[in-house]
Amino acid sequence: MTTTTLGDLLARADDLCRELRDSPDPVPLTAWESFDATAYLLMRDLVGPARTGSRAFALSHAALCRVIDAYPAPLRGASTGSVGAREVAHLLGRPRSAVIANIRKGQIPSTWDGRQYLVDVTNLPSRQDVRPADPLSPEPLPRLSCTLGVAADLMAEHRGQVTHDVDAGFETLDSATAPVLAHVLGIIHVAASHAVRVGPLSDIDRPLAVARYSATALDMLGDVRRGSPMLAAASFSPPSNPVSLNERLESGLRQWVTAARAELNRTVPSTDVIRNVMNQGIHLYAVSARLLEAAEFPVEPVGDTAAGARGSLHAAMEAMSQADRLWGSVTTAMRPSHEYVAAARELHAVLTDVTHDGLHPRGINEIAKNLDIGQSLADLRYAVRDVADLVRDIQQLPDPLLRSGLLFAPASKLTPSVERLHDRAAGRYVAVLPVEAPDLVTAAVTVARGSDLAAQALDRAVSQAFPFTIARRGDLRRASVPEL
Amino acid sequence: MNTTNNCPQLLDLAAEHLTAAARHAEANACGDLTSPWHSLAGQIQLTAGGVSPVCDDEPVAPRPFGVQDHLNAALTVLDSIPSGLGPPDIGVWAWRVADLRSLVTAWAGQA
Repeated sequence: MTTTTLGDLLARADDLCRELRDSPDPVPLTAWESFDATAYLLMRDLVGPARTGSRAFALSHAALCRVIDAYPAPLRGASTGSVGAREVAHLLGRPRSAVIANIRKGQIPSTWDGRQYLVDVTNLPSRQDVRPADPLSPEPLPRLSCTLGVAADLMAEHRGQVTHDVDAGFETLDSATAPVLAHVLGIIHVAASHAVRVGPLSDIDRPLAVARYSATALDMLGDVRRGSPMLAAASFSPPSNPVSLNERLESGLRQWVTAARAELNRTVPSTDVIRNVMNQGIHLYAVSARLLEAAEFPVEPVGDTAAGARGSLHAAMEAMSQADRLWGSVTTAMRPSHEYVAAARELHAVLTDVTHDGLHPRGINEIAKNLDIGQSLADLRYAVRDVADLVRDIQQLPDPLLRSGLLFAPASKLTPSVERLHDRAAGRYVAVLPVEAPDLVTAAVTVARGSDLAAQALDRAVSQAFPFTIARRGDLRRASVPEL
Repeated sequence: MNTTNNCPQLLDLAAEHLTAAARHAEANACGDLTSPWHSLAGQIQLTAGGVSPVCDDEPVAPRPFGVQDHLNAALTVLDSIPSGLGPPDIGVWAWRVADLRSLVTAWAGQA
């Protein structure tokens, strides 16, 4: 499987910390500086830029920003993007007032966004000699740096999605970030303490400062809760030339999800795409339910959980079918993109191949022969979660589209009125009034709730049926008791 | 015959045939959401939206051989639009219809 979550990466970092702890070799300054810069970058990507909003929201985020701002003058900041004067001061190790004075004199190029100065980080002096760690190094610290670097990339690339996922739940983004930040600070503290312990003496000033900082920062964060939905943030790298059915499934799912997100992000999405998302969702659920059924044969029966998951999937299928029909009664008059249609066709083909030979349903033994069921369910689990996200986005669409007069239907199918008399006679399409589509709004809410429940149920069932295939390593470690 | 003026109508007619094919596919599923016919109906409907997102949903004259027959009819209509007079991507949509038709033909051979 080519899917990695933030939780997987931190579990790997924990393993490397243990390896590091037992290593007697001194830490070269270059290796330390690579780690130092990467760890800071990850912390920045986790916390994100300063935010405003409600007072409570700004205060909770400011608490995390204070932790970041206390980092001993960072060796390097982010390589791209814009930062405010406060962060520039932090990066340059100078007072904020001095930085603002330099900006006003034009000595630091900046822009004014109406609230604050923004400085492009490429215009700031930085230590070009601090390079990323060598990924091929056999030493634990460079490997740890690379692991944290991948985590930083994952956060930077998927920040919008992670923010979206966490906000959609019942937790604030900051309360979800704090446990992850504390975990990273713990890793930083172990690495810094190790560097101080093994020397050389001439190079321990910086690790010592970072070790002291990380200990203080952990205390500043206080007693944070365990676990975080952020740990499930996943990075996918499907095979570019899929050959086996498993590879085709993974590749098909990822391409379709990406294309569907792009389509739904259009200012006015195509209703045909919305309908197809429902149709593909039904197909995905049907295949997941069938594979869950098949999974009960080769491994221990997982009993009620799998049966419950199948029930949730079938309930969500019914809700989606209803929503599909209702979206079919209106149109935004937008065409689906070729990219989406191609991705949808490929996914349809591979999902059909998983459970059917043409029109004939495959037997469970035949499915198991062609497919690694555990891996497929792990891929489907992510896709089903993505479908729940897509459906949640779709839930927001009817209201603005109706109020903007962007949903159309044949005048003959809508409430007759004097204004529509001519349109009815001419067989024209007219804008649907919000009062004329109450079912669409209700169905959108129902299907969003159903798909969320289906995703949760599948998560639970797959985690139980295939713990060794998909569970995060951290979970397994807690679950196993070492022999003493 | 002024083919330029007829082009949108031909696109609409092709989309109507595709919608009818999707309805037939849906009917073949007999209400079973796990049937391959149900997911195929979604693919045909998506293609119909690409050919013409606003088409009259009054059913065209039903054809005896269902899905395959309507896909054939849609393809014939699309192919009848002279080159250069239709949308520039009309060939791509025609290819997609032909792809769906070949899938249905393969399924028909199995039945």
